[in-house]
Amino acid sequence: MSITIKDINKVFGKTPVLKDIHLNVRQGELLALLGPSGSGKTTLLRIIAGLEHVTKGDIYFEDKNVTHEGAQDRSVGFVFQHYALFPHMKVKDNIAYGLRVRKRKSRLPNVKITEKVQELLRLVKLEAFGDHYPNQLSGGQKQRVALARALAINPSVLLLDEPFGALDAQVRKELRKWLKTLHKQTGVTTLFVTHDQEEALDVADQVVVLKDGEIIQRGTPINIYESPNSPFMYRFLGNANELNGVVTKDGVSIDGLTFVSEWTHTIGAEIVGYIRPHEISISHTESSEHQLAVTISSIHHVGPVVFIEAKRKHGEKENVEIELSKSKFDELSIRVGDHMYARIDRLRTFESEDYCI
Amino acid sequence: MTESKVYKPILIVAAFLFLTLFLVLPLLIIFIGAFSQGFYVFWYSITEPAARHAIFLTIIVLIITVPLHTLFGLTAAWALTKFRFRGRQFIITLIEIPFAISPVIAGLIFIILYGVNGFFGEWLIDNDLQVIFALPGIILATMFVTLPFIARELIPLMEAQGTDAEEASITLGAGGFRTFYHVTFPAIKWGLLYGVILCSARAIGEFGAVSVVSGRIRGATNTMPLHVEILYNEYQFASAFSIALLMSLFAIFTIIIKQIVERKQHLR
Amino acid sequence: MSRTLPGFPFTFGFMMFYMSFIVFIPLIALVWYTMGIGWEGFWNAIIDPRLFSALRLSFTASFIAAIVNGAFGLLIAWVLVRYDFFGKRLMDGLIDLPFALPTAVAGIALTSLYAENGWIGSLLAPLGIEVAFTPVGVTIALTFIGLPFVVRMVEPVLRSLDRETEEAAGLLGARPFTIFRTVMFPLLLPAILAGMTLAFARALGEYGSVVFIAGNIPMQTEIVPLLIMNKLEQFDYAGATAIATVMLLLSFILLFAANILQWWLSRKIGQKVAHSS
Ligand SMILES: Nc1ncnc2c1ncn2[C@@H]1O[C@H](COP(=O)(O)OP(=O)(O)O)[C@@H](O)[C@H]1O
Ligand SMILES: [Mg+2]
Repeated sequence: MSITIKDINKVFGKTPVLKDIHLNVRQGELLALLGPSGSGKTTLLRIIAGLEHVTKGDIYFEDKNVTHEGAQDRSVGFVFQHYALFPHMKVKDNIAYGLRVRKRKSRLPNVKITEKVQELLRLVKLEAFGDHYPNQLSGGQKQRVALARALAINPSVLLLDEPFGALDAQVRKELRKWLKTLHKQTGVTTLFVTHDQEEALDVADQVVVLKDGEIIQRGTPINIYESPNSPFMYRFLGNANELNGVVTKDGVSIDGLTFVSEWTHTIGAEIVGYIRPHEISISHTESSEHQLAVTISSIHHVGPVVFIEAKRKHGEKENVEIELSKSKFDELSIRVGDHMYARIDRLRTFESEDYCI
Repeated sequence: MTESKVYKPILIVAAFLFLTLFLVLPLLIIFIGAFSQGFYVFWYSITEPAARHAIFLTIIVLIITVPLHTLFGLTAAWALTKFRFRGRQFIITLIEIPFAISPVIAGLIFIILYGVNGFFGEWLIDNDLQVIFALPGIILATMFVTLPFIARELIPLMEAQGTDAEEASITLGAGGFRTFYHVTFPAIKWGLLYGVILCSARAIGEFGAVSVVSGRIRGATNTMPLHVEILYNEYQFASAFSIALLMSLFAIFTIIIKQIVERKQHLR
Repeated sequence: MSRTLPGFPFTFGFMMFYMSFIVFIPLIALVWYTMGIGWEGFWNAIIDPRLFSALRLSFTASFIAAIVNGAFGLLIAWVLVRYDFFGKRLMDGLIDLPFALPTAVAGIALTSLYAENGWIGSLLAPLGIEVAFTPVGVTIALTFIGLPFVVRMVEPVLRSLDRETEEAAGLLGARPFTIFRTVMFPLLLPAILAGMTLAFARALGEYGSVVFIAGNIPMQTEIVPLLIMNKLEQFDYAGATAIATVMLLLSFILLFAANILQWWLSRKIGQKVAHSS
């Protein structure tokens, strides 16, 4: 089922929490709502589920306006951040709950419910845990029960609030992969909330970034990562070097070097340039004019990659962070104190004014 | 570090001594007093007509007060803990008002409302209804005094429970009653049980407020505590203690339920 | 209202209707009636040496009872939280007896116990100590009914206290009692005072457990609720209401002051804790 959100506003007391949100989620999409905490992700998700009233705006499931429909009638699967399992019910009863509370007319016979619960237990790989109580399960297992419970009612939309938030790194990675597979299997339109950019980029087909109740950018993970549309996005999505410069008539001038920017700016404006650590190549010899002279100040090995901090010769205070593969690093045999030359492969610039938002 | 071997026995003994003086001996004297003239007097005291009538009236008061307060406690706790609105905290405080008011004053209030010279006095006389010096007055006064007991057991429990589980239930298609019955209720049932029992104990034992509004007409408007007072003032100590013993047994039952409930809630 | 769970209109509506009927309307009637008495009537009812003496007794006896309960409540809470011993559950259950036992029952039991020929009264009589039908008896009854408050307020706080703070003090060389006095007591004080305030408020209005043991001798062992009762028995509703109003006002002022004190204390502790961390 597709979801269309039109001009949603939400105010708590006097504080606006969501501002003019427009969003269209296509049938079968796996969409991540990404944003720093407090940006309104949970609120948006709860509004879609019908757990929160909107102050203004409309929500459509397909062509049907559901804005004033209660959460009971929306047939939405919701997975709560802290699972919200029913503590006094066994896992299988938790999962069966949505099927058992239906009106008698539309309720499945008990045998069918038991079958369906078994099927779901298999799906979430908890066949052996049907008779356990929630407090006998690990975090990851609880999460899967919550998911199975939400899926039991054949939801037309699946909403997950920080589904992996409370789990440790290992379990997170596994569940991430698993959610992707599950989504492929079921094909349910799925929205999940996260404040972890890596998670969003890894799992989703589409990423929507929220900040202070507004959608800042939307796109595919590649699109979002490659072309952040603001300094905020640059800093929010992974590491980035920030270099200050000025716009001249030839391009952008940083440390006396001139770069061609992908964006056009007014001449004379101060700009901030953003470069990802892996978008810098480094060599011992100067080979072209577009290289920054740097001194290596520290080296960190993190598994197969090496992070190098280098001090700019002409720069004021900012150091440059460079990411190299282990093999490249060994090839260059870099040591602390080396004077080297850094070439910027890709630079995106923003005028300093909008830097301040 | 503060657990010195020397302090422990001294403090425990001191605590027991204090409690013996104030709680154990009074309890003991009720038992002994009740049987001081033999089992027969005890049995007679609790079965003679005036006693039977007092017990009957007390039960009437109970059956009216406790179910209504239960309904009130449940609805109030639902409205006050599952929703956020302005004045919420204020209402929670208001529920406790009857605790801050002397039972005698509580009785006085109902005399002012329904007494002969009260606000509704003439209207009541014109319609040949009697509230004060009659059962309705006793029930109203008891209801006033015992209003907070069930609600105040439930409110902290349901507050701590949060709304996540209920919301999950709603998104799964359950309506309000089903959600309450399947999700909220299992978490509060023990607290509710204790609230109901404590409320009953207090309704049975309410004395001050009921003294004011009852006419103390023997055998007509006497509840159990009032009957105890009359017997005691007539120096029929064994009989007074016999009725007192019945009520004490209910109090002990209340305490036992509390212990069980606390254990259950710990285990969850 | 921000939640979307069902049932708010009905539950809220029923709650307000019920409370209006049982609490609000009666209370408004009381205020209304009080205002109708007029200054003169009010004044005449108040200016009465019997009332002064009753007020003095009610306040002093309640105050002493609150102090006794503060001390022994702390002791019992301490014993219950910190020690394991035979009979602990019994002790825990007994504490709640005054909440559950009808006040009149408590009243006749205490009277029999402390009367001249009672178990305790007969032990005290040779020493020249009279309890029943004296202010001491009133105080004992009020101690009884206020007993659970301090224990139940202090227990959770004591349980939540960080054992490491105590251990740190011990490692720094403080003796057990010094640790208690300097580290624990200040942290427990707000809860103790809160419990004492509740016990005091309950004691001020108490009727059932006191009337029997007090003997109700005018100017000597009459408490304020009893005075109200006397007026009512003479159908002097205006007089009863005037006394009730005075008592309500006085106890509200006192409760208010106690709340301020508690607030101030816990803020001070909050600051201290913030400073030390
Ligand atoms: N029930 C509520 N009442 C008042 N403010 C709220 C409520 N729920 C959320 N907020 C506020 O709305 C903002 C967005 O919250 P939320 O949607 O939970 O953000 P996120 O999930 O992105 O962390 C926060 O500033 C939060 O304090
Ligand atoms: Mg959130």
